[in-house]
Amino acid sequence: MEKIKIEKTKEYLFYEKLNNGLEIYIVPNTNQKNYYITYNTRFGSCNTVFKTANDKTYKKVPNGIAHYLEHLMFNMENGSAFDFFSKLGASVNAFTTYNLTCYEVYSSTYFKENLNYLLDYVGTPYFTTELINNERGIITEEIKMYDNNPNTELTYSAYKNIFVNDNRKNLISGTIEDIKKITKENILDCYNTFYNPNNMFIVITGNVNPYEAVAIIEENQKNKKFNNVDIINKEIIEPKTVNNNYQEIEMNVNTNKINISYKIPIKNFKKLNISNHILNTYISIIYNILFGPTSDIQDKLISSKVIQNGININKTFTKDYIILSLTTETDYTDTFIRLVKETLNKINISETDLTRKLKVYKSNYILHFDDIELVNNNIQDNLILYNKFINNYMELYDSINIETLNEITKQLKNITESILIIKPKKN
Amino acid sequence: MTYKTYKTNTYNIYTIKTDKFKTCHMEIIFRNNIKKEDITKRSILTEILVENSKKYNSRREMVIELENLYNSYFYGVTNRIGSSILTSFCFDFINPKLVMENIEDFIKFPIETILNPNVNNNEFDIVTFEYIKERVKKDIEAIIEDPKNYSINRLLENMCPNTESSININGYIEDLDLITNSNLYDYYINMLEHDYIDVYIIGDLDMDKVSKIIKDNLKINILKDHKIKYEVENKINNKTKKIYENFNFSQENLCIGLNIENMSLYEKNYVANIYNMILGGGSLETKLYNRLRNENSLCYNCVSIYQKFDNLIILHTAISKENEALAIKLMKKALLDMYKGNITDEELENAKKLITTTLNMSLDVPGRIIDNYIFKNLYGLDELEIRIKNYNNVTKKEIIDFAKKIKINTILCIRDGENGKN
Repeated sequence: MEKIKIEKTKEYLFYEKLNNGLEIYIVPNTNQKNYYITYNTRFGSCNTVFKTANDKTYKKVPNGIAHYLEHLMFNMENGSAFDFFSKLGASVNAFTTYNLTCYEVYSSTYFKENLNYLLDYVGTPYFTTELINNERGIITEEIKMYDNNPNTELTYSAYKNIFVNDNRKNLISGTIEDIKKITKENILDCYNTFYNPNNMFIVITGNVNPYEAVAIIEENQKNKKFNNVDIINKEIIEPKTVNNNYQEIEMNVNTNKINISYKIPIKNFKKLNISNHILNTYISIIYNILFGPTSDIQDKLISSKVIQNGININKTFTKDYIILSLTTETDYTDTFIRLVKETLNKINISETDLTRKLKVYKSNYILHFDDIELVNNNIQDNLILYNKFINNYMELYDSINIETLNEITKQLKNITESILIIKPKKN
Repeated sequence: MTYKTYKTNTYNIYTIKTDKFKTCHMEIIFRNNIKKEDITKRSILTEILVENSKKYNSRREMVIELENLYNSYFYGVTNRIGSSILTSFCFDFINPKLVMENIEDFIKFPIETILNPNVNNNEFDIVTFEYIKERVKKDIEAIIEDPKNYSINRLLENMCPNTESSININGYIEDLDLITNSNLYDYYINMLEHDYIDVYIIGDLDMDKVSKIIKDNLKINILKDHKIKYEVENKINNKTKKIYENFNFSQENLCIGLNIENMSLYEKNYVANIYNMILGGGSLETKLYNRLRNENSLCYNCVSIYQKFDNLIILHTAISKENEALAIKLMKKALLDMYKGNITDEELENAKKLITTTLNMSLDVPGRIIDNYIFKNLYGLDELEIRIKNYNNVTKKEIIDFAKKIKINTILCIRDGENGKN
């Protein structure tokens, strides 16, 4: 097992890769009483066109299938996986993102039993037609529930507008129509393809002995048979343009909600020769300085009563693009749009602002080790976004400099945007 | 963890020294009896006091200072606990030892901010006052974005219109016009003078030094001796009320409000929680969850919420409108199961284990350790270890006896109109 120092902190990450291909990442924190385990497959809502090395052609499965499969995974031949965890008092759940399905267990006792059962139930496909049909009603209500939520809509519809081909344009859950098309064969096909150790990883954080954890996992896996396959997800060519650059939707809101999203091509920064996680950090810092709570624009918008709360900044990283979204609530959408554009057209960042923000980033990084869920989720993000664990964020923050930052800001002008406004319903 | 209390004449400082965390958490709490007519003012005041101050006179200046203090986080939260109101001004900060900084700079920040707001001539800064008032208005109006909370609010307004249980903690649109900058300032002074104040702090800090800094800066001279009431007495209905309303959500929202009659203190603190865990407050294997979701695919979620000081339990789910009658029948059936004692040993044991896990989880979060301490000090809740022991001693008979004290008061169906989106 590798013991990797997390630079400029007192923390370590333990890494092991089993013979079957399963990767294990552990960051112990024995100050904590609890442990948090996530068992993850690199299978999210975006993975709908794929083949294995043995297949000649790509298969297309319905949207929403990763999420549907996540729901079904808890069924076991003798009942529900929840029964086992409930007996041990463990808190369990699962979630699906664009690129990942995650099964989680949180508890302070019965580590061995909970870890073993997590591996066992996710490793046991039990999908009957009856169970699949029962789940459809539940997911339909889940979709309808999100359909009511203007904040969810503000994100999902913005993605629908900004992406032309990328599957992020579709709901993670799929639509009610999408999930009607899902069959038992689709489900089994996806399970057999994506739920194999060479496509999965385990992250454990909190009160855990890494050597014991790896021994339990090794023992659990050694008698299981897997059919590791090389997965080829169909490459999606996403253009620089957006699907729709302006949309208004009416919903149950009293104040307009607005989302301005920017589609920034990563190749614009190629000549800087920096890796994606460094670029991501620079862009996050720039947008934070330009639109965060200490920015000129927020000060101006709040004092002139254009907005009452702040501006939220969200970032999505795809293979070829960084999507930056600014969202807020305002009665004056035109003023908001104008000021955002003006800000991006004359970017001027001072050393003082940069130094202060770096202090914030460093402090956040040190403090996040107090939160075992956050540490776990950050490792997941690293693995999904960059395919590796980044152990030197503190050094990275030390290396951030105004010259590179200014170079990057030059590329942030004239980028494609898409605007979405959710308006109150007309009576 | 070492607990130590430092007393002043007018307030107490409760400290917990622990090296578990790199973060420190401090709360300055103002508490009093709740008054419906003041709730909107309280909402605005809570926001104004954390927005800026005399020294940092805009949001921007305030956040710059917080960032200089290694991204400390300062925020205010107001909660209703039964018939009392509790406003916590919370301050999260890095342990100053880790960054070689002076502890005094951190501890003084929230105190100075609360005691020296951005005030001129007995009025808050006009720009701040106006946009915070507008923000509160929008927060009140935003209830229509949240079908679950909207329907629970409507249930309580119908079920107990004259008690504190139905007070909306965000405030009321109709009260906003009555709030002026000047009467808000008077309310602020009133809060300083008449609310009880407590200070809680957790972290790896020299607590003798910390308490001295607090005492030197938080100077409160007025003694309080009035009684704060927590219990809300809600009337029992002999006949269940059925109410139908319409709102253009994309699902029907269904709420059932239950009264709990004559709970003993033991039932209130222990049996009721276990009952609620089994019924719908616990895992994904509760009576409600099994009946509605697992067996009949009617919903994504179905929960029960125990409101201890209100002596109420609220059930909520969201369904398709054609399933209304079936959903109500199944919810009643789950209640009947509890009443008849159709509870397996496994269900009881699972509920106990889940409560134990939840309590243990709270030990890894500084703010939740403080919450446990507050509940022990204010409401006489037992120590965590004793609570875990007592929960584990709850018997099936005690749950059945408790179930007999539960009466359905109101069933509210918020029927869906057109799909929520155009």
